[in-house]
Amino acid sequence: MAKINSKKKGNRVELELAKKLTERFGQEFKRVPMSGAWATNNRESEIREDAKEVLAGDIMCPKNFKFSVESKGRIDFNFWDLLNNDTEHLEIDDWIAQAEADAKLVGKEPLIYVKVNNRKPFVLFHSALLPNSNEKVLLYGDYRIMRFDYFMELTEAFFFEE
Amino acid sequence: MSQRREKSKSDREVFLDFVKKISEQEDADPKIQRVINEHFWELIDGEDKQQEEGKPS
Repeated sequence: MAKINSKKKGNRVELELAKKLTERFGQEFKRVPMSGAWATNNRESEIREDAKEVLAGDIMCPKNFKFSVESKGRIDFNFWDLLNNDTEHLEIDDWIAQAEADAKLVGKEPLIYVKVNNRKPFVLFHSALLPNSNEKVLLYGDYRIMRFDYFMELTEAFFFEE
Repeated sequence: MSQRREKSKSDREVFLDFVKKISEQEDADPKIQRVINEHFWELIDGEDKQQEEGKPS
């Protein structure tokens, strides 16, 4: 039962994210059916490259969108764990590994969208993409954590290849 | 004159120094852990939350 609810929640978060991206950019973003590393699981398949590009990650994005998007919905998230070296295994590292694998497959940048219950969403992306920004919450390894609404205010050039 | 003026650390920088120091401790007080976690959550949804709270019901 819990697993079903968790899957439903994940689907809902993906749908919400696709809607927000579509509204922001005026181009169609859609949830990948049966997503969850679809492209990663099918990396050896003979599917056309352009199809892989669209299907990598959790959200189908326009072709020239720079990011491969992973979406995560969780009940809770503890920032303390990111700061403290005692925590042996962090789920966020799995998210990053998965996002990087999918992004690498299609030559895009990994982007992780995180929605926690009763909290505003945030994103993780390579901090090198936005080296001079003051709009940061926290740096985690090579990644910057940023409020999603601030992230969405960045210019089109940040998100799309010319 | 201005050369001698040293920019003091912002509240945020002071806080981050504190967080760094605490996070290096093996057994940090769980209360402090919670405060630090909540601080970062406030950076994510603090402003909007405050605005929403300020709205008349």
